[in-house]
Amino acid sequence: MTKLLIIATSLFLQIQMTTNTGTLEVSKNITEKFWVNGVCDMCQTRIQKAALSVKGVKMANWDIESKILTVIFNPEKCTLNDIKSKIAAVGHDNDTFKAPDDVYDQLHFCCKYERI
Amino acid sequence: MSKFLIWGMLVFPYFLWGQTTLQGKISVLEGNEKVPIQWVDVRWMDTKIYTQTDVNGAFEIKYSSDHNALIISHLGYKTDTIQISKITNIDHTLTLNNTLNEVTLVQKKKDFYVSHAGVNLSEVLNKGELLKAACCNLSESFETNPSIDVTFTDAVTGIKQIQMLGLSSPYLQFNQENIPGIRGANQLYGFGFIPGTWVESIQISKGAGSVLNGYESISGQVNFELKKPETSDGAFLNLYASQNGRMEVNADYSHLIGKHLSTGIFIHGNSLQIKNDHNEDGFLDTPIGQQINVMNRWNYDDTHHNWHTSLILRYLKDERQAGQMDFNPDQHALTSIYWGSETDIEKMDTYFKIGKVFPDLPYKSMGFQANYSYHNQDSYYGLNTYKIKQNSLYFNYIYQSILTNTNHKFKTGLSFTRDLYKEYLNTTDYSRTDQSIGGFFEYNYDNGGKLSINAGLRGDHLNTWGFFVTPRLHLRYQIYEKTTLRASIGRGLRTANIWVENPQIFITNRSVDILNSGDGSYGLKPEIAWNTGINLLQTYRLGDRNGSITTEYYFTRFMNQVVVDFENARKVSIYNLDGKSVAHSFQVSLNQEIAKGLEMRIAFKNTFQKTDYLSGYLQKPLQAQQRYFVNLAYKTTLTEKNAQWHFDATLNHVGKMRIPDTSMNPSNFQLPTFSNGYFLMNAQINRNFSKNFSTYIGGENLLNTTQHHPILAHNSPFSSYFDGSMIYAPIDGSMIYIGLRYNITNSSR
Repeated sequence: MTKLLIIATSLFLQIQMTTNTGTLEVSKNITEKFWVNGVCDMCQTRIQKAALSVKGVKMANWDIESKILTVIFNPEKCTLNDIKSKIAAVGHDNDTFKAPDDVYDQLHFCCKYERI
Repeated sequence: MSKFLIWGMLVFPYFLWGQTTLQGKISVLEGNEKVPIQWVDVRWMDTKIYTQTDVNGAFEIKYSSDHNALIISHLGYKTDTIQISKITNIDHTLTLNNTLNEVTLVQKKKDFYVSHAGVNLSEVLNKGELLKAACCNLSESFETNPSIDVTFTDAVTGIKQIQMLGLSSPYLQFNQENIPGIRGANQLYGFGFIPGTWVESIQISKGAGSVLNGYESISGQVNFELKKPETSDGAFLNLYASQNGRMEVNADYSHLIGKHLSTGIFIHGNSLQIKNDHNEDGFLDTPIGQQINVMNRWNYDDTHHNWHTSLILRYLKDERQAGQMDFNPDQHALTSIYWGSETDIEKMDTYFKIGKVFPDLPYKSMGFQANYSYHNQDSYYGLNTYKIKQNSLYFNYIYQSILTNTNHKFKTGLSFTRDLYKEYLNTTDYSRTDQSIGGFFEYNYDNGGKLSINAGLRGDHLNTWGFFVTPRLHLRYQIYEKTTLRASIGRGLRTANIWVENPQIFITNRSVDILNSGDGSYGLKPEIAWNTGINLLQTYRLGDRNGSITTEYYFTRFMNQVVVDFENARKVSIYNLDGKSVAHSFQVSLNQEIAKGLEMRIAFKNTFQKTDYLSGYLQKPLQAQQRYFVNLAYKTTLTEKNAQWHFDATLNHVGKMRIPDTSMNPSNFQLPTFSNGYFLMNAQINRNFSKNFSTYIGGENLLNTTQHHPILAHNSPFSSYFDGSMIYAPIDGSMIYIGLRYNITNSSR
């Protein structure tokens, strides 16, 4: 029984260690936050989908209330501007790029955010 | 003068320039202490101007008089908007999302719901739903739910059995906070060992289920969450008494110790000392006895490093006496003067969980679960003694991350289970060890769109069976916004515990035959089954009322089954399935809000299980094929003082059941081929006087439906015709109960 416990704990610690070395790779994962204009759940899905469609983006989370998008991506595979331009291309203004007017005009009526 | 004006015009903007940043500090409360917090988003409303707090919680943001509202947001905390009319130093404290919204959340949260999200069709029963019945223990929590049937195993022991999709509880996996909880020697008694007031919520998912919790589930998984000390801070008292003399006390106290640590102690006691025999068959309707059940749990949450640890320690002692009214254990135990039975169970459990989410990579997490359980049952039934002792050890490690991005998630890990059984029926030793070790991988696809997939595979090595794989697949397709189609297929395997799962064998004087004796537990092969299912959820709005319709069909096919055959009135035969065994289950349920506060649930269920017995391909005995269910729940509007009335009523129609062949018996001990259908009704009224105090009164089996003389040959319990296993209706008649609940919340939070 004690032997088993030892095996289990060492296994756990070992995996813990490997995952710790995993976090050393964090340099391959940058977290960035920026402002993206939008209003509703549908905007959220569209923005996150657009961000995730960029190769190298691992996570995208847009908060409706603060309008802040948090992205985690691999800088070797894409740049922050790749993500921002992709989001603008699907109709959402952000702090660097403005969405093309025709794309904005075609957004669902509930998604028509106020442009600044 | 003009010179001064020019000078002033030149300098003034610079003067302003020097003032154009706004500074401040953001903190959060940990216990009663304010702690600065990093990475908080600070943004001027309707602008792109945005910054984040540093390690000290400090921020600096460009100021202009055009901006007048600052939005402060952080994941897990309530987003605040601060009106700014002039430059001041901001000192703001964020509040946790749940604590602030507690009151409103409780009202919004539905008591019962099914969701379009998630790959599995799962029904969630929240506190509100659980309060609809007295819910003395877990088995009674399902009274207001049509998916689960609760029946008695026999006329004497008072043991309840839970069924879903037409399959009884051993085929349904019960997890306590995602750790397999009610299994092995605890399989049936275990439902009576989880007091209702300890349960916070129950999630029922039908069909194959996830591979994370092992290979044992066949018809579905039920997970119950116990009260958490960090959210139930304070003291709670519940008293209950029923017409037949059952008394219950539940008392618990939870406390926060410092910033991260919380603990709770939960005590349950029940007792029934009055002997009742309403059907005048000389046998107790309900066993007498008492239970003491104590749980102590500790939670440690390190929000900075995202560690979460939970430890549960439990001790239980349960003593029951059943049998004839005049039976006195001191004089008559194991004699043929009076038929009697005593069951003493002692149980100890330790559950440990540790989990970590990587703060900078929120999609990555790992968890480790461990459980040690000791169960010791000492019992006799008439002239048979039965003892079982189980020592059980369980480890499970889960690692979760992503493939390319968060649309593709995976979970993988390793599990270990060891069950050491010491089991004796009279002088026969059935002791054995079941040990399994395995690994699993589960892939999940969900892009927030119409389609999601969950595909799992595990490989395990079981000492009595060897290596085997357990594949499981779930699909979800949201056809329209309010229409979701789900399908699942999966395999399950389990080792039967024939005596624990079939206590009704002991309530007969039939001879018992275990056929096919060979390797494995009791010389029987493990049970293997495939389960497939499809269901459609449609939600709608009728006027301004919400409603939903769920239609589902599940099919289970056994590759091997341990068949317990009561078809010969002199004998119980237990053997490996030779031929076919299937279970079909079709259910339609409708949930509809009728008026403000009034909800209705209607369901129709058709379950059909057919097995190749020695005497032929027959429908499973003592199981109703059809069940109709109606539940009405009405809540008055909550007054300012949090006073409220709750009314709840459930009406069931249980269809006819096939009764095993009794034609070998003398005519006075023969039963018809089919039982008649009957109605069952339960109702409860609950009165909340304030947030802290409520009382309730309720009734079970209000139509007084009973099975008259449920025991064959009850006057001669030592004759070969004695049989208390033929149960198709309640033994107890109508029963009224009352109770109260009182809680004091610690004001420090």
